[in-house]
Amino acid sequence: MTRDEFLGRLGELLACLPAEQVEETKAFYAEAIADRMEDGMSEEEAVAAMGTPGEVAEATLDDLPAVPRAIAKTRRRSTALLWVLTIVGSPVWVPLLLAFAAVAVTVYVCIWVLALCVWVIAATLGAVGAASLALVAAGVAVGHVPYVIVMLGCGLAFIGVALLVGAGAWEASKRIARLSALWAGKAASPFWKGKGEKGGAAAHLAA
Amino acid sequence: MEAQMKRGFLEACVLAAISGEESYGYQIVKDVPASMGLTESTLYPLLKRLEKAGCITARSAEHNGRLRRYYRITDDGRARIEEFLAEWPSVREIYTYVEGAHHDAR
Repeated sequence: MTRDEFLGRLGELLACLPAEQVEETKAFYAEAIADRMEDGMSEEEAVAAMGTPGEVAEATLDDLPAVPRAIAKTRRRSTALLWVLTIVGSPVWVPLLLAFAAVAVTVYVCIWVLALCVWVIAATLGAVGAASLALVAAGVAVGHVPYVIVMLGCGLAFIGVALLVGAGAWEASKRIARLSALWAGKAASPFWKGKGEKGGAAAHLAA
Repeated sequence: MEAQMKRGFLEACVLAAISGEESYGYQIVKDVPASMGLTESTLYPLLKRLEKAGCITARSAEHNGRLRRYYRITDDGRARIEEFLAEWPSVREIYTYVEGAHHDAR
């Protein structure tokens, strides 16, 4: 097989991927073939060293997350088959997908409602503090000194507690935002891969 | 070799191959010990994965009138090599145990 035949076939087999990714993959193998030929191999030998286009395509697709991989592999066999499976399987996958999305949204909403509760408590405490301070003004108008002192104390105390709770709410919201980004990544992992793939060599060894 | 273990070994080998000067695909294939059986079709997804994980960076440079992609290790990549090397005592312990038990049994 010549280099161009190999790359052409590889392009066809990877047609399910975005064009830019296909070009990148082809460029990598074109470079590898050229380097082997520079090293003294014939074109035939250099291409053979890559393996068959089928194997190469398989290796590239294997690294995709589960759902796109299944779609890509089915589509590679036949686009018609993919459509038939998609349509025939829709009573199964549509409700599953909806249920999955509904659960994800519900959990997400619930944790934010919790955070919202803390914010409401903080706001309420703040409002009570502000009302007490307004009553201080009333006390001054009437000229009732003990009342003014008590209301001033209450108002300041309430505003202080409101600030504390507010700081807590802010911290909690930030954490939830971080956590939900993490969970969103996990939930989406069968569909596409995020950046933070960690663990690496040690994890593979340990596994 | 067991698949997961091999994946970890390969990753460490590829990182090691570019830990000195930057290197390119075919050079990495030649540098990594032959017993790993590294080929381009294994290397390509591995490089993509390492790049995504921030362990390596890649740049294109001209070579003999064509573009060649050169890979360089990052600090995260070096940390990963160290993680891999730190596994050795426990691997050796397991090896010694298996070897000892096997010999005693005979």
